[in-house]
Amino acid sequence: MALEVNQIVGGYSQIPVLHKVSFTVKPGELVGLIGLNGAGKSTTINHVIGLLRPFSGSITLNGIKIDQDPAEYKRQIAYVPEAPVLYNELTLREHLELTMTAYGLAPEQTWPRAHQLLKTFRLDNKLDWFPADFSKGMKQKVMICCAFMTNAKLLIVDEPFYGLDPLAVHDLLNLIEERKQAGTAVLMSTHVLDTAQKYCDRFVLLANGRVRAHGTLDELRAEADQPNESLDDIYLRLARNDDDE
Amino acid sequence: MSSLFSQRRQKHFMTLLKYWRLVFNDHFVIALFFLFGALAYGYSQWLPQLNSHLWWTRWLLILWFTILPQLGRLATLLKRADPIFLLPQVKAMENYLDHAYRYSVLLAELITIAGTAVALPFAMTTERLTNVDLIMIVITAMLAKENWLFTARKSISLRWSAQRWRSRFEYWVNPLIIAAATWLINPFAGLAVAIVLTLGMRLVYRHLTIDWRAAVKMETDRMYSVYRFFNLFTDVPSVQGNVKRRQWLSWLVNWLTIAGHPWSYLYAHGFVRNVEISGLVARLTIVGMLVSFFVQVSWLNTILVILFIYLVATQLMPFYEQYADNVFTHLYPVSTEDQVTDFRQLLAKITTIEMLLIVLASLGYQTNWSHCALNLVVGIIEVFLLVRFYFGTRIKKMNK
Repeated sequence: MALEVNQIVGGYSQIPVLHKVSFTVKPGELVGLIGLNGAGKSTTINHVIGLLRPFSGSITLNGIKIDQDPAEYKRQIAYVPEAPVLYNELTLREHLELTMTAYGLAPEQTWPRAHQLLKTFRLDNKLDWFPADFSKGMKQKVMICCAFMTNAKLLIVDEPFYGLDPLAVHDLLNLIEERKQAGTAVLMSTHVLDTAQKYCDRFVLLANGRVRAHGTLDELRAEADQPNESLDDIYLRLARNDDDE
Repeated sequence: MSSLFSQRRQKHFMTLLKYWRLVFNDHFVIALFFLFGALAYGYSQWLPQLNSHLWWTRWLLILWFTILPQLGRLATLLKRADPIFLLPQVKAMENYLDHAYRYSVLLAELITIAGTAVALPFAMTTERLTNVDLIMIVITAMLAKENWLFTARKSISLRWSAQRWRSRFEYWVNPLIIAAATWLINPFAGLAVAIVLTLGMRLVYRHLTIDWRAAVKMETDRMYSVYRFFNLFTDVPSVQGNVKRRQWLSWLVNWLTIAGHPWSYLYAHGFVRNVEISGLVARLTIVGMLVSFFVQVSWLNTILVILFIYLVATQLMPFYEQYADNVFTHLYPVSTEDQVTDFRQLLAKITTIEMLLIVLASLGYQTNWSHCALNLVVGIIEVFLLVRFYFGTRIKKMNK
């Protein structure tokens, strides 16, 4: 098991946003974290990447908890945030260099992969540009390049489809597929449900900080007793039911 | 509209108050008091050496009274969203701007009076002035300032905003003419010129309908410089700092970077390229060099050297937190201890360079080697103490 989230209760201040959230992501598996705005997707991710500490419950990554060995825990994670976060003072090339230094990657072996990624996202001629010169979509691509360049065992991708052009979305999905084949666990949050339905192996449906359902599409359908429903329908019904409660 | 302005003024005051409180909490202020004290002391020592036969004193006065009106700008407190939300209120904006104008005049005239008061002892030593002359000089300076603000007011009107060169010209040339008349002819002539110019401006520039773009830009620029001032003392979120590549300094970046240390890599690049922080350090170092070059009273010189090394070091320390908002700095598999160590290295290297430059300048025009050597010893000890101990306590405060 790569990532095991076990009964976490957590949030930003004293008030819990997440209530006993549990799920797992296995190596070579793409798990979709699905939910409306404010359902707790980003909060969950913030706990997994160690930005927030859970009030109770535990998060284990290949047997390591963040408190046991923070450096080793973090080395296993690569993260593509929802809104691109870059250093204003660094060029694209320097962002890649910094990521290599931080993750202790050997430049000779990593640069070829980096160049390949840059080429895929049509950034290979912009190595000396500063973030101020990039559009939002380009910044997002820089984040993707930095994350996919590492050997992380867990990739966390937060709402990747905004601001990316259709070609880039396609390329990103291909990359995720490639990494999955290589045994990387991938956790992706999104509310673009038809894409999620096509690509994710399993789903964790969040609403109001609780896991409302999880499993493969067939399992979700069986649970809802609607064998032909799409993920979209299943989720909408769940969300509406929640509102009525 | 007038209530809108007073509302905004109150809010603006609260913001300023918040920042002023932080400013007066800082050690930096103690250092500034010392600096001002040293300047005042130097000024009082300098005055008795002057007499009325020096050719340059009048020109210095003209320069002073030309620069003085440049201080204190037109505060309209307009916001970026105003052109959208207040668009139908173009007519009512004149009333709003009248309030803003009065408010700005009040503040700016206080600065003018203070600046004039500083120059008067000098003028009284080098010129023969009666009490009436003194009053006329003060009134003239105030009129020149009012004139300057009116130039600003008309420069944000639709009719005149396009002629930027004209406003820029008037900002400098009007005060210059007034000051020249005051000091080269007599204070009465200066007053007369000031009155004529003030009335003339009012006659020429009428129909001052607001130019939204120019007005908002002027206010954003003004607020930016206000925030930049506060940024000297504390972190102001809206002052992000511009970035310049500075390829010619890549040797410095390389020298500051420790290979294989991500934090060191980040801090070195950030320091050299961030216009805000490197500019601040460079400016303070240059001022420090000038002061220690010219002030040759030996005890005072050593105090000033100590002071400036301290100033630069304390101004650099908040840079430690520059990247705290970036989630990736929390994600990198690197410990906080590494961050502290790497920043300490950067701090040590930069303060050492700056210390050497200031100590070298303290040789002064008298090339006093033994005094310079003393400063060097004191400087080395100070840098060691600042980097080793003072930084440690600051970090504890910041990491809390």
